[in-house]
Amino acid sequence: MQNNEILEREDAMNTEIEGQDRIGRRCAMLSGIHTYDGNKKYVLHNKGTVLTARKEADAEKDADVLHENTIKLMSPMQMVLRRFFRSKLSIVGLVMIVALFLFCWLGPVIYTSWDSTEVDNSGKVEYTYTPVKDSEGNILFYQVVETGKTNNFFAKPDSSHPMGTDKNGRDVLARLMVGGRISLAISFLSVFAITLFGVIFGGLAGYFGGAIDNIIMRICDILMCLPGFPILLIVGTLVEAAGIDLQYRIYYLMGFLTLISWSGTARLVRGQILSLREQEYMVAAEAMGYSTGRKIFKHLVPNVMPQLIVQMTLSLGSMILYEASLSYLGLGAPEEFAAWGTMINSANDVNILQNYFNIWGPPGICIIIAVLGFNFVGDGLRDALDPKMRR
Amino acid sequence: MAEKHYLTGKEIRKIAKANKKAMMALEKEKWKKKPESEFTAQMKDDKNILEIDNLNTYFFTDQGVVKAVNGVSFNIPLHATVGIVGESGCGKSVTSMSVMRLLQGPQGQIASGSIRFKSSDFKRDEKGNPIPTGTHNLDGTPKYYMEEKVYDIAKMPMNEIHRIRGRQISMIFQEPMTSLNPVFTIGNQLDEVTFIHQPGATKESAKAKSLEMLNLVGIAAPERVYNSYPHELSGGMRQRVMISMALACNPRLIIADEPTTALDVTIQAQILELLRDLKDKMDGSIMLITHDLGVIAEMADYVVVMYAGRVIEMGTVREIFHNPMHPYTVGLQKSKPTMQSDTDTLFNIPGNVPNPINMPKHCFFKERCDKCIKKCSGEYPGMIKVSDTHFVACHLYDEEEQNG
Amino acid sequence: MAEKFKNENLTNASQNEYQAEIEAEKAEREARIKADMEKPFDKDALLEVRHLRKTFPIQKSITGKVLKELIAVDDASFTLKAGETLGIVGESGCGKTTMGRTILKLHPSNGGQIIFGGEDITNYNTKQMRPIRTKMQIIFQDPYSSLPPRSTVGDILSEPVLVHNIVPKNQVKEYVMDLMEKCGLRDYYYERYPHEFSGGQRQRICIARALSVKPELVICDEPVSALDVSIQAQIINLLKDLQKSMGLTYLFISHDLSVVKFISDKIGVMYLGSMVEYGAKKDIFDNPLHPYTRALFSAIPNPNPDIKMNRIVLNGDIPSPANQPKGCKFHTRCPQAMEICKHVCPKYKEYEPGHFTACHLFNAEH
Repeated sequence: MQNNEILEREDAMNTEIEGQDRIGRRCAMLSGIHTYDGNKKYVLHNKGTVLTARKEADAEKDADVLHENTIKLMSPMQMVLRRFFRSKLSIVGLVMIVALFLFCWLGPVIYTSWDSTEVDNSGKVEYTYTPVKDSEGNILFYQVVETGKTNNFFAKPDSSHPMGTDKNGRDVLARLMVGGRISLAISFLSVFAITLFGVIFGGLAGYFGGAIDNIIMRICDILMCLPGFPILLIVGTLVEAAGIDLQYRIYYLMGFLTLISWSGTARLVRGQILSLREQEYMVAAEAMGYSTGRKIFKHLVPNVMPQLIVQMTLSLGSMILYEASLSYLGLGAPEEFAAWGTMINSANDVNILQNYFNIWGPPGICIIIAVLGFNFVGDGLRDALDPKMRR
Repeated sequence: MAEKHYLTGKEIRKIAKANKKAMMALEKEKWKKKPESEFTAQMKDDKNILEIDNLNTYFFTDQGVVKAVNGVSFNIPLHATVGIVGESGCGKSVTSMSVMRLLQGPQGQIASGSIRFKSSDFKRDEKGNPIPTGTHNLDGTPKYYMEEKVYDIAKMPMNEIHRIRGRQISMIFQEPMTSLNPVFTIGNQLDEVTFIHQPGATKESAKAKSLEMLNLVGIAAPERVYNSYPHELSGGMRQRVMISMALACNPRLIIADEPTTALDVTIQAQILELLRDLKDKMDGSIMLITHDLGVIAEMADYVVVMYAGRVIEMGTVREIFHNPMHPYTVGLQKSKPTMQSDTDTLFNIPGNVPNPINMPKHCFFKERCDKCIKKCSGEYPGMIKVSDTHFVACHLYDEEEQNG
Repeated sequence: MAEKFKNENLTNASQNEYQAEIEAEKAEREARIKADMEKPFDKDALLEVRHLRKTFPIQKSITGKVLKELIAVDDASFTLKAGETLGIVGESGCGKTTMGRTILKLHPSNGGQIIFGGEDITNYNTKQMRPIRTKMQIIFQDPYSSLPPRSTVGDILSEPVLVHNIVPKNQVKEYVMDLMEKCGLRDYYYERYPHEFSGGQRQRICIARALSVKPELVICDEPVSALDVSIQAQIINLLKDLQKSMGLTYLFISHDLSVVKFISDKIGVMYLGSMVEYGAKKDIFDNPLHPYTRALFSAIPNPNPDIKMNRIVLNGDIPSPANQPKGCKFHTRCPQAMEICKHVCPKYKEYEPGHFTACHLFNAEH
């Protein structure tokens, strides 16, 4: 019930009853709205009858109920939101991410004039007529040279191509929007996979300890020693040699990246579980004789979730960077299925780098926005969710 | 039903907006540079060393303003021990933090009131340097002219507070485990205090002073402790070191915030013995904050009982223990099981300490009080004088109630 | 260097003097433990603990052999009848909490027997323990860390009921509501989260959770030491009322003698893992024998400014349980320490019927 509602009802009753003190009245009203009677059923009383029936003494007894109810608290969700929105940076980050998602998923629905793989063939064909003369100056014939272009490549931004076209005459804006889908989707998938592996292995290591912990942590140590990029380059070549469609190569690579980079999350989860295991409520769960599964999944994992969410958000940014770097190195999707990294790859050409900012600039800016946005939101979430940071 | 006790988004935004405005104003005031005349004051009674007058300290939280200290007034006479007793959340620690100006900003702020402190500081020239007399102390450090001044700590800007904090008012904390820096030796930390607050101190004089202090607090091997790190010492030893640190500058006031709560009973007995011993030796007053009535009875000369941010009763220790007036003080004494009592059920005060946000207008103890009268639903009771030293805030002792 | 050598010689010499006694004591102790272990179980007792020992390894060799260990509980014995309360008093590091948890089999024990309800549960595994878990429960000291922060009160209280099938599924809510009422919790708390409550209310929730599985024995591990005085009294009274109405048996662990005195029928005083004195409340309070018990009694501040007690102030600190003194563990702080105390472990003897103590001062009298 809303507080002002209480006040309104109280005002209405001010005229009805006189002589009864203010607190007693408020109290009677509250207990009248919701009492717990002897038959163990919730009863909703009519306010008028309650007020006349209840004695002042009863009301006094319930006074602390009243006091408790006039105080409003924040629900756990509200507290998290309040702390999150206290920082301006996290709001900026949130806006950036929401804008990017709208751009990538809603954009192609609205901007339908070009498909991302569609080549603009509207280029005007122009001919230059050069008369070929003999020694006396008579025109023998005209040499016809095709000087225009058949597909509209390297178009400058104009009304039909707001960001121009690339060297194959594909619309940059359309490619940017669809490329974002690929980049974001791949990073989300790999982050979820990393988290899954991390929770399973970290949870096992933290909960059981001993030999299991030792084995898993040593595997983590080995994984942390592996140099990421050189191995990915080798795997990229292997994937190509295996004759797998180049369109899917980036998925294989990111999958492999997932396999070698869950160790950070696993360490985080293990550390959290080790400290949570010492908490008295876990000892209480042990004393209650709960099964191991219940203890891990009902009591431990939900309490690791906040840290996990923060970790996930922060690693989204780095996954986007990984994807972009791989694509830039030419290990990403082939050109026609653009991802942001692939689009920047075209800046390898000095001509494009110098003269066509409209081709490589926008995907670069998108990557910066995405990484910054995820990092801002991650930092904001950490402040909001981590009770140790509570101010 | 389930959600109704939660704030709505609109209310949360409203609170946040109001908090921000109030906090900014107070925070700005706190750091503003002022001429000295604005924060000097006059003591009401010259026998007091500290006078707290209508102090209000608020915490601006997301759920509303917590009036942690709500119009508290009491005095600390010279050479006396004043015990402040109350349960957690009653504002006793916040009062001491306000005196030290250690409140966590920007949420915690002194909203109004004054804390007058009679300080004895070095006389300073225009540049702010102390003026030497030309003579020397026994250990070779120069002597300086001193002067007595009364400062209003509540109005003092933060950049002037070092004149008082540490040198003239020092503090002993509850947690001896965490209040020493683990990476420096005890000697290092003790010497530092002398260096900061004693102009002209040399390495040797500081060490001599530190060893003397360690000796004073009953540490048998001061040299060994001087060279050890905090983790090498036990809790009781660390608390002794903390006490020696607090004493190092001959402060006029020591604030002991639950000095024995974290210690074992037998160690607590040692520390209490030590404090009682020091009380006679030192030239200053002690403000002892505790929830343990037994500790208060053994240590204090005057007692201030606090409840929900207000002083509800104060008097000499005998008045409070032999003639408690306020129902809360009575209940508190009855509900503590003692070695002497032999009852079957303990007396208990029903209910809980009220939530500090949105306190009612009437007496805060009304909901838990067993002697509640009709008048209790009215205004908050004022302080009623029982004797020259004994005051109580309860409607039961209003003049008309007594007569009628 | 030379001085050190001399000192060593000295101690060796005096040790030799007591060598015979040390060995006699050791042999006697081993024989007594062996004899006690073979005794039939006490039929009246709900809980019988015999010579319980719990150590934690603090240093291990590469092969896993324990080089150094911390003796947390050393030779603790007591019997507890149904409906009784045993108070365990001691300072921090005396092993009282470890003992409570070892009895609950939250840690494995390293020696001795735990007999609960006529069953020797010392070597039970997790599966065998599961039905016994409902019969013995624990209440913790810190009401803040002992409740899971992300569950509502209703969830916290109904989970054990559902897991152990205490009542049929459709009656769970009613059962929980009833329990909450018994523990002084209001019905609308059901949907709230622990962070919304004060320490006292949280402790009530903890009590309700422990009682939700209808236990016979409740181990109260310092249930009131984190609470305010006025709330302490409420919780102690609640525990007493519940004991009467539900026929509970308590093992009440506390460092506060006055609280223990109020709630217990029997009292055990622990120092550095060992029981130094054990007996009925009246015996212990009217006639404390062990110097440590006497010092504990006199250390409690008296809330009366006019009574100036003649206090026995113990010198020094509690030794570390990892590095315990030889002979009587208390001799480093004992005001009445004798030469023999430094070398020979005192016998744990029955001084008068039901009143045990381990001190050389009383050895001669028997």
